Amino acid sequence: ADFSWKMQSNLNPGEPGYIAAEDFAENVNRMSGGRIEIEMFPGGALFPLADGLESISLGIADLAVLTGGYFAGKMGPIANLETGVPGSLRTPLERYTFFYEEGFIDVVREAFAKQDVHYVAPQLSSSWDIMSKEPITSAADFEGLKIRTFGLEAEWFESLGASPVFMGGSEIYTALATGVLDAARWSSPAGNFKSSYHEVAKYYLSNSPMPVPNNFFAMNTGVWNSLPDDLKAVVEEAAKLSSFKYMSLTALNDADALNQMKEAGVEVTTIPDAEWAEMEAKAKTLWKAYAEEDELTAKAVKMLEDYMAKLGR
Amino acid sequence: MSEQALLTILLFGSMITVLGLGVPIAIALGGLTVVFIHFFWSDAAINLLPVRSFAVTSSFEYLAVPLFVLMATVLQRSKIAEDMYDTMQVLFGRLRGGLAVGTIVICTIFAAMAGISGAATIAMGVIAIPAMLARGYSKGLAVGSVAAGGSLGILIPPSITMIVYGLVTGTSIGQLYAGGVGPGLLIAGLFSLWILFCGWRWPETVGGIPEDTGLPRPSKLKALRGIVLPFVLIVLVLGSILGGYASISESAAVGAAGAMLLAALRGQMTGKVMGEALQETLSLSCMIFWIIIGASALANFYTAMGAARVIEEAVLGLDANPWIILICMQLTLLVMGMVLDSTGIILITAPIFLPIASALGFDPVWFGVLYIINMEMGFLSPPFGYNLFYIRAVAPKSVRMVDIYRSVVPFLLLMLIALALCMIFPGIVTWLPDQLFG
Amino acid sequence: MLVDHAPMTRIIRIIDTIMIWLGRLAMMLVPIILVLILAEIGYRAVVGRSLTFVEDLASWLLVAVVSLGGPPTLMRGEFVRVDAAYDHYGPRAKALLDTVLSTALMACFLYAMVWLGSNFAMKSFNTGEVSATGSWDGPVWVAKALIPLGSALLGLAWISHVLKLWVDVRAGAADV
Ligand code: NA
Ligand code: NA
Repeated sequence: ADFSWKMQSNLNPGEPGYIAAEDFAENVNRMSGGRIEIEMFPGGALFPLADGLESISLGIADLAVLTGGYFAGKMGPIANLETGVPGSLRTPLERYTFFYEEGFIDVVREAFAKQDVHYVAPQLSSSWDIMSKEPITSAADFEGLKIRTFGLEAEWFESLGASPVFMGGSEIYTALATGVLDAARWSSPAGNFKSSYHEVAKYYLSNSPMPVPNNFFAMNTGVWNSLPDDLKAVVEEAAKLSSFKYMSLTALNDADALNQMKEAGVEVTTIPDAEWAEMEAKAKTLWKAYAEEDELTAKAVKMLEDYMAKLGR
Repeated sequence: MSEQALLTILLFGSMITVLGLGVPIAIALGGLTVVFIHFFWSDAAINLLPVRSFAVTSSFEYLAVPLFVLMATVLQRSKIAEDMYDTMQVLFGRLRGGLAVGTIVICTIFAAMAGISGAATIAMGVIAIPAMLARGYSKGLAVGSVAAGGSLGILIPPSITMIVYGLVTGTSIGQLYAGGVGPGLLIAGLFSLWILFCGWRWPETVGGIPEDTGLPRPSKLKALRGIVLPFVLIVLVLGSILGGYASISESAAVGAAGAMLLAALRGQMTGKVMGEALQETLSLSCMIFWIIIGASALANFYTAMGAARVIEEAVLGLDANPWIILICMQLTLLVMGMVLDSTGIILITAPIFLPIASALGFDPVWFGVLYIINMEMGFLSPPFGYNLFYIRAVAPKSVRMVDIYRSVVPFLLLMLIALALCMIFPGIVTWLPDQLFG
Repeated sequence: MLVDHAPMTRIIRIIDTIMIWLGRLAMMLVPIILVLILAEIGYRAVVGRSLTFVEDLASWLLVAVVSLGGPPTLMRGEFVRVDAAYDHYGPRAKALLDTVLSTALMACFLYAMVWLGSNFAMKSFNTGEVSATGSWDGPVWVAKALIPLGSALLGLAWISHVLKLWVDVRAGAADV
């Protein structure tokens, strides 16, 4: 092979997002006629996820799947908008269109270039949902709720009276078990099931605060620039395919995981549509305020608002 | 031989040589990692050292280390620990080896308060080793029982290692927690039996045969006071966790503050005690963290070089009976445990081993608990084992590394026996999860 | 052979004084961590809310404890070794081991930690990185800068350590 790269996923082997990233690696190899070989590593094996931007820009790995929201402290709110914000887009296709047809990907690339990282493509993922120890059926149930979350969602839940708690993944299970947490915003049904949260939190909120978040493929700028144009196209197209692989795996896994959780005694709760819409409107005010922060973010917020207007929302 | 196999030999060979010559461990691991990354990976990748070290030292889970150490040093300096051992001497003095058995019991309780192994080992090392040595215990038994007892922390819930394993493999964390209880108690029981056997067979290792001094023995009621304060502390820490007031990392702060409060109640919370306790906390914590920095970078390098492939070749190459494959997996873990740290081993091997184990029809929870027992042995197995280094830092200067290496051997053998028992009688692991999760 | 090793002892004394003060500083950070975590537990129990800055601040203080506390710990000779062979060495062999092999490994380690670590901290400073939780604007570069700083001081402590070994060798030679 002309190029052999090390790539870190944000997840562990066997998880849908990891398989979708392996699918990317295989497609790149196949589409490039074997000129590119990619060796995959699980999340945290090459570098800690929270230091993903530095690690890619310094060249510890050539390529990685990262989560934008982790980098809001380095990049400002544009990182949150890249991951997706509550009260905005609802389906993967809306998100895909927003990135590729509305041109959001150009704004994002500009933002990540400032961090010396090449933004290859989003990897659309399954929803990020809330599981709780007591049923959540209305906005009022957020009052006093000790919920594990971060970023914009933390602000949002706080505006509803909740008390956001910041906690690493390794502590959530035990914290839910003992009652340090009342609820946790984590992954989709498959991810929550894999983390065993159904054993300690028996309610699943069907309204998703983050219905279509995405991770993204990040690449070392030097490595990217060293590629001939045909291989650049291969990498970009394979990354697009990876999103679809992820979505189809999600469709296969989430329903099954939710059923297994139900069998284990989990109940699905719902906040009525009208009330949820009001809650989402609050979230929208929060991310609209991001426009004040910097020029690039203002452009992104405007772009999102315009697109939502086209969608009639 | 594959490139990775060659690298494996070179890496661990030079590690053992450099450590054996006596280079300080933290410096040896950090320096070797840089050299190896330069020659076998890329200069850009050397950046992982500062990145890793920031991640290690800024992780909230590790905050429990200095705080539990502070708790222990306060208990030791304020003589609460000594009173506790005096009491145990009165209560179990006639039982040869009673103090060491008491130490194992306290380690087991401590394991239920901490999610990591280090915190319990250092804390008990500070408290128990001087107490046992002062009462005539041999170095081997005093040091070995603490090193071994301390390692129970990751097997008895709560356990960060089980959570890492559960997240990597998708195994139920609740069932792993429940599954660890039986083997944890079994191992604690085996340790205690061994100590009692030593006391019976070689009385000189447990401070000799207790003789009647002719002096009136303090009444048991009066002596009980020595145990009341430590008991209050345990209730405080466990209560803060189970009552939902503190996460497992935060509960260490309850322990440290509780120890200070108790010392103050006894009028012993002086500036001198506090100063010495803080000084010792600083030394022990820093010594450990600088080792963790080097060790995690080294494991990181080994993972990046495709360590998983060596393991995969070794295990998949076997076309044998499922039990032989299972035993080979345990042996692989045992050998890796001698040179690598547990998080690294899990990242490298768990994604390979678990699918094999389930394909062979083994219960994932049962396999996971066997796995954790192996990780626990890794904390003890020479030459590279965190518990060995913790003990070296805590124990008096007269206890040399060789003494520590020697002291853990019988305990390692006992853990091997426990591992074998869990394999032969899976019910030891699966009974409790079956009861709780049906 | 008459050698004046006063300059050596003077360097040792200067470095050790710095280390002692550094140790006192690092030591005092531990009770601050303790108080922060207790405040978080108490605030949650009483007010029902989380002091959202505590997790970051306590973790960063741990970085400070380890970075600044490491050098004085090294100075006190409390960096653990496998002493199976080491205990049997004479002063000269001990000095040679640490001057040659350990120093070489230390140099490689410090290159990564000080040089590349500064670069890592500078990246954080240049982007004005703040806490990733979004709960407060705590500057991360301060914590990150402690890694190269602490490592550089570790190198300083190592110099004092090696010099002491040679003072011992000479003292031993003088006795003979
Ligand atoms: Na434990
Ligand atoms: Na070991």
